[in-house]
Amino acid sequence: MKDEGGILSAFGFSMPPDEAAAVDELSRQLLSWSHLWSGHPEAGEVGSKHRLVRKRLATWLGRCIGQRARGLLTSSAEDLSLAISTPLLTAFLGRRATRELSRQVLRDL
Amino acid sequence: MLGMAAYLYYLMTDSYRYLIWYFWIEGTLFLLLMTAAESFLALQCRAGFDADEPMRLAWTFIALSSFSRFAGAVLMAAKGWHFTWITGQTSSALALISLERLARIGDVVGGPLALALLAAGLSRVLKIQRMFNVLSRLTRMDRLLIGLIVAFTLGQVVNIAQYIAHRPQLSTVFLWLSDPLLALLLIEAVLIRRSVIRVGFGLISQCWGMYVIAIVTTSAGDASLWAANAGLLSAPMTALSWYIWFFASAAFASAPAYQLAAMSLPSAEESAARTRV
Repeated sequence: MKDEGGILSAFGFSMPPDEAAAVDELSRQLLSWSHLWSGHPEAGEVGSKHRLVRKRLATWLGRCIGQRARGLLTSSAEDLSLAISTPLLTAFLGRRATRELSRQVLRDL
Repeated sequence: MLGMAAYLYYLMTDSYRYLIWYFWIEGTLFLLLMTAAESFLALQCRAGFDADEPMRLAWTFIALSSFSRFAGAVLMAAKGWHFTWITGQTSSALALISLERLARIGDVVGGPLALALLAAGLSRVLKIQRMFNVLSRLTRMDRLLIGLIVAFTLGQVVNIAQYIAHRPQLSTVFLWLSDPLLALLLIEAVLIRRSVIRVGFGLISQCWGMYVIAIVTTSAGDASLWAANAGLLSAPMTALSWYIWFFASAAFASAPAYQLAAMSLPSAEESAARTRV
């Protein structure tokens, strides 16, 4: 019942190796989504995913709010992220539509 | 096409026959359909926001304004159409009196009440836009336009105060509120237009842009009524100005359609992606 130094062992939990591996994979995925959400890549992380998220998000902002909506959120295109655009999108599209939009932005990532 | 044909017939023969039929039947049906569509769409937009979201209240006011316009259109159409159905019946005189009164209520409900509710909804939208820095600074031209609107409204208020001394009917007093309310809506339209220019043409900004068009065309229709009554417009120009109301009601119905399109786009894309898989 070893956790091979994963997140579970850090919290003092133990479970069968196959389950522990699945949970570890999930936690890695959640961490990756959280980095994509915030727009801050971890050192050594593939930048193409972040570029794709920014591109998709800029397209959605343009279609739903307006082509210049990105300029209201950040002066640099590199800083655009789901974290900074969610309040604006939620205000004008509503919580449910913004949730769907975030799913579309993070699709297959 | 029918409208154009009716107008051309009027220009060639100087007879209002087909023009009156056109506005009476197709015009009324168009107005009823547009206000019903506007009410349904505005209600759908309202449902897209949760109870604790700030835009929910804005759409509540806008939906109520649409319902007022629809109710006003129904009451006025009932009077116009019933006139021909009941002639010759024994109860017709009584029915006409009550219909006359209902049409008067329709004028108030579809006019100043709807405008006041829309003004409340749009002021809420402006507040939210200001919160997100969507509103940009007004240009000198905007300030000049707002100044002119305020000066015109103050003149109207002075006139109203003078007329009130003659003890007019309550419905007449309410109807006088239309112009100051339209002026308020025009000021809101100037501010919203700035925000639309600032964010560019997405679905949401087109929604607010449609309200700007609707308010401007309503004001133009109102001004043309005033100009026609004052004898400033020729008869063909007066007849042409009646068509403005089609554009105004179409713009009012298009605005919530754009908002709904923006709100449904992400889930529509999701369904399309699922179908492709």
